[in-house]
Amino acid sequence: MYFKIAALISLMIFSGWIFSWDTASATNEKPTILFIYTSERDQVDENVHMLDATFSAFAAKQHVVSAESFKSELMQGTDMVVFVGDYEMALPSHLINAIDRYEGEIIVIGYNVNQFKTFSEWQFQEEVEIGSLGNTSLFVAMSLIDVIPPKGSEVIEVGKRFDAQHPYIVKNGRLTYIASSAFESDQKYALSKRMHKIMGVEEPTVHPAYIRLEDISPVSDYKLVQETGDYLADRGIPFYLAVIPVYVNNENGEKIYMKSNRKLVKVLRNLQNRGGIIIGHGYTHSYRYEETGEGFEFWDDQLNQKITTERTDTLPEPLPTRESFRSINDYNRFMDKIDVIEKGYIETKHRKAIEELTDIELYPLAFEAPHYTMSSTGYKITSNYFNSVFGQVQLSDEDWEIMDAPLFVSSPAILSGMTLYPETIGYANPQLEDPLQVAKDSVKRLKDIPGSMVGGFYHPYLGLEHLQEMLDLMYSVGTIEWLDLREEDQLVQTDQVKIHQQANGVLTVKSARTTWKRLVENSVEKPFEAVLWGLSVVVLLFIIAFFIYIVNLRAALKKRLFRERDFSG
Amino acid sequence: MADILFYASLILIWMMLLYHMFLMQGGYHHFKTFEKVIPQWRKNMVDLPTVSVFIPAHNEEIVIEQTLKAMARLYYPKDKLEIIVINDNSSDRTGDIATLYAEKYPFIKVIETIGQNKGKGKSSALNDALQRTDSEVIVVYDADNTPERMAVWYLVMGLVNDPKAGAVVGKFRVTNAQATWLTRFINIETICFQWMAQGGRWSWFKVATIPGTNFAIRRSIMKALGGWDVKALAEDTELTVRVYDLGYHIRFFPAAITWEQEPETLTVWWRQRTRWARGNQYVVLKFLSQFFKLNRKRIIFDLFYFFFTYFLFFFGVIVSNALFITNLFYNIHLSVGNVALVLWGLAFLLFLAEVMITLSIEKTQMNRKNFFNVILMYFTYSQMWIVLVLYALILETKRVILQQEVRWYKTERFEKKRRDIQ
Repeated sequence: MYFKIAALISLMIFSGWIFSWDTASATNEKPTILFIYTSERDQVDENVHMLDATFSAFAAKQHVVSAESFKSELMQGTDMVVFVGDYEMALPSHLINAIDRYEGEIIVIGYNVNQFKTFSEWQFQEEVEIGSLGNTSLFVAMSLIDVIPPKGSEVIEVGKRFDAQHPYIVKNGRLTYIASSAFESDQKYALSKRMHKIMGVEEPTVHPAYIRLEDISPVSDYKLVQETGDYLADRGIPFYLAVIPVYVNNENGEKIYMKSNRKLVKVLRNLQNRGGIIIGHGYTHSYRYEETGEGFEFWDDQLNQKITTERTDTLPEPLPTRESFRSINDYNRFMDKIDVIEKGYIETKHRKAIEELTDIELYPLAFEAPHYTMSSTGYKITSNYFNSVFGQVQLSDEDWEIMDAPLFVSSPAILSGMTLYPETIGYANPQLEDPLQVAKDSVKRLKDIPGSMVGGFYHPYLGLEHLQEMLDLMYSVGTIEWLDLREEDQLVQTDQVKIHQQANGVLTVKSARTTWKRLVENSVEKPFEAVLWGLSVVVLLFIIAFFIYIVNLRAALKKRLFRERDFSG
Repeated sequence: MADILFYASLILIWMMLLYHMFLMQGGYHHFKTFEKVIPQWRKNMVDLPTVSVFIPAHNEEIVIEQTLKAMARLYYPKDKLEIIVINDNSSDRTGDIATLYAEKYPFIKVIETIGQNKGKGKSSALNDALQRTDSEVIVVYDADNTPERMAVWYLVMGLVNDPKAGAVVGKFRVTNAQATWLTRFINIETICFQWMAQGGRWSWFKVATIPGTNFAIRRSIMKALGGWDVKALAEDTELTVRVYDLGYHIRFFPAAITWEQEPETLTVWWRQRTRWARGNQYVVLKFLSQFFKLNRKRIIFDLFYFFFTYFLFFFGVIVSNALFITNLFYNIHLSVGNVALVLWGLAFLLFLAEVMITLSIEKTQMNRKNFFNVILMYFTYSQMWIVLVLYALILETKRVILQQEVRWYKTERFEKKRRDIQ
């Protein structure tokens, strides 16, 4: 592949602002974690996903495997084993043996712990229902495995039932036990709060933070984008611009391309130069002629299933359930076919989004799925194009509403190696009495969680009305450090475009997209318009020829006058 | 929906514009080449055929005299030439004036239409004369025409040298071009018509249309065709189609030049053009319905052209205008971008270029005054056509539905003489 250097931009960022990633990991070497889980029918559920995500934030590398697929060789080179018993079952003996032989740190969460000899000194009793975790009352009561740890154990966190306390997180030397694998909102905050202690690393005093200007599409008001972007840039905040390159009119399917809104492109380029970082927010942010910004793009929200067809005019059949197939093999064969369609669809969208943004000198450094929805296969495909994802993660391939984000920058296995910059506080919602109420509640809780990300977004169409308030809210969490992707290694690529952001601030963009190629592409996209342009050229050539004739005729005027006299006698 | 309509009208309009662009190229080519054959052809002008010049005249007292003056000057062996003034039911002095000339020049004759041919219009008058003469070649001039001296000679030259030519048509110039704004526009229009429609089609397809005046046709063909169609309002177009159907072509030979008067007032123009438009619509419908019966497919192209001009093109223009106006008041979500504007600009430039070429061909016509006239014409005269064609279409539809008989409207003459033959 021959790349042409399209742009080389060196970035001098904000004098006086020195980046230092002040998490404990900066001083401690992060461990390599082997993350083993049990779950019903081997299916990873949201608890496992979220625990995976949360632990991955503390790992240099994390390998995720189910108990059934576990192989003893995986223990090699592992600094720490995290075992999540999300489902009660008899563990394979080679797994039990391997864990029992293992001499490194082990963290066990939930069920099946009594099968390990390593934990023989611990007493595991019946489950107990508790009403609060730490100092927080639970919205929904949860059950803990009632554990009596050996003497000398440190109880890091407790659950309470009336006045009775039950250990939630207990640490004893190299062994840690967490008495439930449930990981809903309350548990997320409770566990995340103690993660540094569990991992034995120092608690940071700084929160990473980011603010994203959301849903900037070709029909966005460039003045408002400029206003909000400049406001952040003026304050030296590196900020993010979630850009949708194509607007689809849901009434007639008409497409408006970003390049046709020159004013907005100019504003975005300018903001990019001023510290704004472009995030590819899908290609159209719509599917089946839904309005851009409203519709889903990588998930069929009408059927609540993954994308199964590129046709948008009719509703396809809902995906059949596993039960309607005679064997798992039949089912898998069927799903493989669907996955090919989904793959083609998503690849096209990513390719177009990245290439079309690059064409107009906007260089996306990360991806954000529209409405954060995408299947696990979708994330896998996405990882071929992007390194980083913003927002939350859809945790189920059956239901888009099962989505969440850990509180730390992490790289959960479901993202196939991509880094997740979680959105944790939501956005200014003018429909609420207090547009920032949800964000305020979140920030309140994040204050207690060392090193947690404060990530939120803001719609530029609101103008400046709630922006300062939102910033103030973010600052109120404590010390924050604005996340700057230009201080990290990022690679965004397609077959024709390679955007490489180096940690030293140098951005290299290579594009094999010549004007001719783009012209051809446009023609395929809008064949009729291309024909009309072709027509224009032909007509123009004729007009030029005609004017040459006129000049010729004028030049020969006298000669002709005489000649006609000859012929007319 | 708006998009589909827009694209449909765009396609229709541009098919028409491209076709004319193509014709212009042919017309220019024909202009550059048509004279080359003359020295060679002149040598064959030895055993000349006998010629009857038909001048149908119905109340033409204003113009008939100068017409006959021009006829008297015609360069052609007088023993082989007869000028027939067909006095068709005139109630003015047409007959008297013509008789004066007939007395003075032996080759000028006056006949009165008789019987069923009397007072029925141009076709009937011509048929009448056809029955009462026996020359080999028939030349037709309108009563307001003043052909140049060599006109008939060149027309016959075409027939003599081109055996496949059933008819030869010349070009015409406008006597009263400077009289009014209207005649200025008509002058420009006729020049364009001749070099694009006549010259262009001849150059590319060997097709030309008999224009009703200044043409020569073989008697053998008129006989084979059984004369003029009395029902046709545009008898010339109708005749054209039948000549081609017989296996001959019609040669456009612009060396034969005549001068004619054009309407000086809008009312006259309106009536005359309505007749043409209705006539052509009649022809299109008459022959399109017998599409597959036509022997010579080449002419089908021409019929299709008329069909395009009077039906599709106007549909396109009207839809496009309607969309434009609707768009001013209500957003109809047209998805087409800048290219539409560019095309509009190009259409205008194309119009200018084409008109300017044809004006340049006519030597003295390409002057500064006419340049501005052309621009003005685009926004005024050209647009009047839209209304006119619609009006004609309504009349023609009404006629078909109510089965009315066609009435020939004779173009009103204006008293203005050509300086060179006074």
